[in-house]
Amino acid sequence: MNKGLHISSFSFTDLFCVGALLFKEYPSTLVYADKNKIPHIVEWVDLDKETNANRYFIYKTSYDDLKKYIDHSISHFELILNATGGAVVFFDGSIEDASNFNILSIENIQSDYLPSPKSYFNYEDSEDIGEIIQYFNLSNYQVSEKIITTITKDKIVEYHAEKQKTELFRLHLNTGKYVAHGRAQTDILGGTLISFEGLYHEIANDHLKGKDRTKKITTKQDKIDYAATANTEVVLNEAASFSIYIRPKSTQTQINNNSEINGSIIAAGEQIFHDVIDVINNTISSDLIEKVKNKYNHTVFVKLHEFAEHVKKYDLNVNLDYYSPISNNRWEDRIDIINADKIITTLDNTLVFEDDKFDIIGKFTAINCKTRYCTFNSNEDEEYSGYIDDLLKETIPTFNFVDLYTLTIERKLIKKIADADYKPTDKIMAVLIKK
Amino acid sequence: MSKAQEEIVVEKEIKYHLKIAAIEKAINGNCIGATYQEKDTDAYRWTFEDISDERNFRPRALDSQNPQQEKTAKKCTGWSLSFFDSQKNAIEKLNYYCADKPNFYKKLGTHVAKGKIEKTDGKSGDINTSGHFEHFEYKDVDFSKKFKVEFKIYNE
Repeated sequence: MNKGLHISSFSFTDLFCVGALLFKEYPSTLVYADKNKIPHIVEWVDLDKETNANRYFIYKTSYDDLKKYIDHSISHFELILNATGGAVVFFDGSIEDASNFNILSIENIQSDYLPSPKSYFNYEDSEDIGEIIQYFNLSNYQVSEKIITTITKDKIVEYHAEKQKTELFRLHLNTGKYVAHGRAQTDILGGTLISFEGLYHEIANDHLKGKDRTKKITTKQDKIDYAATANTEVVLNEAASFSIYIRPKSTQTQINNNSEINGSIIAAGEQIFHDVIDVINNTISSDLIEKVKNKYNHTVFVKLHEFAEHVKKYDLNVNLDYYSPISNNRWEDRIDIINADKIITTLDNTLVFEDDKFDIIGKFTAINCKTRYCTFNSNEDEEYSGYIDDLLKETIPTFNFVDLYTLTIERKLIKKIADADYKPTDKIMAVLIKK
Repeated sequence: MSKAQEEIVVEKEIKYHLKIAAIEKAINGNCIGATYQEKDTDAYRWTFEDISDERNFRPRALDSQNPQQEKTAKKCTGWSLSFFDSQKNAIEKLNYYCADKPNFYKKLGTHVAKGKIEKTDGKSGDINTSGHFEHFEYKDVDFSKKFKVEFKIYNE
């Protein structure tokens, strides 16, 4: 079973083979170029004994990294590690007749598909190195000396995202009672991450299973894709007050256009983080929540409530920043005790309703003619209680506890938007004696 | 060598000589130059466990799975065979390749076979610092009958 996210099409069919970097014995690291002369590397990694199919992966690289690899400044491992977009596409067969495509982030590549970190380029191993250098004009290419030495405070997420070539979401806990000088109390930090992950996960469920959660995740591949997108992973922490950088387990890539990826799973990460910010921003007042209360599943608000409660309880001040080096999109927000309290108040004051109407057969067990409140036991031994509709008040004295009655019940389900369960309120709309 | 002896020397035909001749014409040079000579020497080669495995003594240009088969067929080394001068050198080189491509033994061979290359088998090039040399076989030579699997390096 191949790891990674299945993709429906292979977009490397128009590449030109420049030559083999490695090896003379068997061309196993090949350099290709697209129409813009951007280098792509194809790595042979395995031979399936049963099907006799060769397994490869392909990734886009830069002139800088190719030149550095040839000049022994970086290892083969680092060349792969620096792949544009932080991901590679696996395929079987050959690049001209590829099948079984999967996209996989670099860090998830199995170890026997990667070179030793000590494996550096050796001119003697390549028959085509002259052609490769000539084609990309690498002899005259100056390796970029661009090193980001000044990291401005407001560009810190961009800096790390660019460096790691991946989208990143930062939770920056500012100095407070539990966070200071590069330290964070473990349970507070853990609680922040868990409650934030809960919110992210529910918004991911909206994207992957639909707002009403009706879309089933059935196939093994779908389950793998789902798990990779609906969960985040911590990739970096920074002792500046305290910052945690997370991203979806499946990372964004620019190897394929998002539209070409099955189920647009890859694009989902960015959209999920966008919606996290959206839902936080739009729940700080009763007016604003009207914009989003029907946009998301109620479980999203349940998890937002938990996150806001955590922030309020520990008087946290958390900056939330997202940046994608692929789309260059950036979002930011902040949650502290004041807007956490606003969120909690808004969520507590926002009620949602559901209506139901059904008939039951059974006997009255209690009737209050004055208040019209009654209790009723159905033939299925279920107890109902509620008010008899005002229109029926004249007939209430005729009801008894012996006869069977058919009751038409109008049930109103009501709950605060962030409550886990509805509370039913029943109203008896019609009563018929069943003989 | 006497004049009489010289007269009976017949230049043996190199295996795949037509392909090699075409390359030599294209590059306007020799594939089997002055450094290639008939030699009697012990030789070591990566093979698979069964010495009769068709992959064992197949030139690179005839490997249909070679992603650059067409290009390889236009190179002199596409039609020669790789050998080493010692078992140690053969193992070290395979391990060197597998450090970069951990599954490479599945393509190159899991064992080392030893055999004796004789003058009548073809022409061998110079041995490099890694103990490696190329060999162009004469027609009708079958190394699978002359080599014996001697050492296992990897499990297939």
